[in-house]
Amino acid sequence: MNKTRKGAMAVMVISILLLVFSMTIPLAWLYKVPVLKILPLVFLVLSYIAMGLSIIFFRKKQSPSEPDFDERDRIIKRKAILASYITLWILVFLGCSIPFMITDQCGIMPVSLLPIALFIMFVIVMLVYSLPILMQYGRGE
Amino acid sequence: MNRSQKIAWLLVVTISLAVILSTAAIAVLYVKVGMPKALAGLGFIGVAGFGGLGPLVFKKDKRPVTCDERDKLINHRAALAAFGTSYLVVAVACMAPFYILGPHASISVTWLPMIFGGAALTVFFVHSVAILIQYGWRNKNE
Repeated sequence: MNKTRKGAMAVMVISILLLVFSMTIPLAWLYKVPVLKILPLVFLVLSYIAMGLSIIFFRKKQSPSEPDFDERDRIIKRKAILASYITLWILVFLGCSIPFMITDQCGIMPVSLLPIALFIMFVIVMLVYSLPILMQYGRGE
Repeated sequence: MNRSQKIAWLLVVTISLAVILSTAAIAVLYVKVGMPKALAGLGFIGVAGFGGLGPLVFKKDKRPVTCDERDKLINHRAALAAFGTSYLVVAVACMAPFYILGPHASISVTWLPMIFGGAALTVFFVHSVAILIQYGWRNKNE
């Protein structure tokens, strides 16, 4: 597994953990079950552990002669960036237009929702960045 | 000056003009009629739409090769710069109300399309500026 693929794998795992973490927050808030209250903390700790492990995983080379980066990696990364770019725009468009339409243009929303929306958008964009990389390497081997 | 540079110039000029005109209109209207009505000055942002006519105004070159590897690379880098900056604009637009108004405040949903519009304008502006920087602002280095 080369550096780009390792990076994409690490980004995918961390993104999934962070996405689950962000989904468990409203669950813990809505339902007063003790197990659900601990879940966000568990997933946050797990994502930090994954971040730490990914650094070790990322540094370890398959062989000393393994190149860091080649032309194929560059093309694969370019396609993945394009996919994440398009996803970002779709998400920003949906995030900005859905509340506007649901509330019939005259509603109000708490400002605390904006950073949450931004965080979820960021995690989804990172997930979409890593998936095409893994899919393209998978198809080539 | 090639076609990409001409289109980029048109976009830079129209977007800059739109932002300057709308800012001036909002400032003048704010003094005259107060805040909610002063936002009507945002209508001048529509001037930026003329930038979209670039591909129609500047016809494709009649040379056999209109786009080479370097042009593709320049366009790719410009798109990346636009991507990064637009994401930054969205991030700032989402975080600023939270810090300025406080976590318990609320805002009108009419601000949301403005965030989208601002990010879209930033994409076109930064993309055009990045193209002009890479080619050079004038005929040289074409």
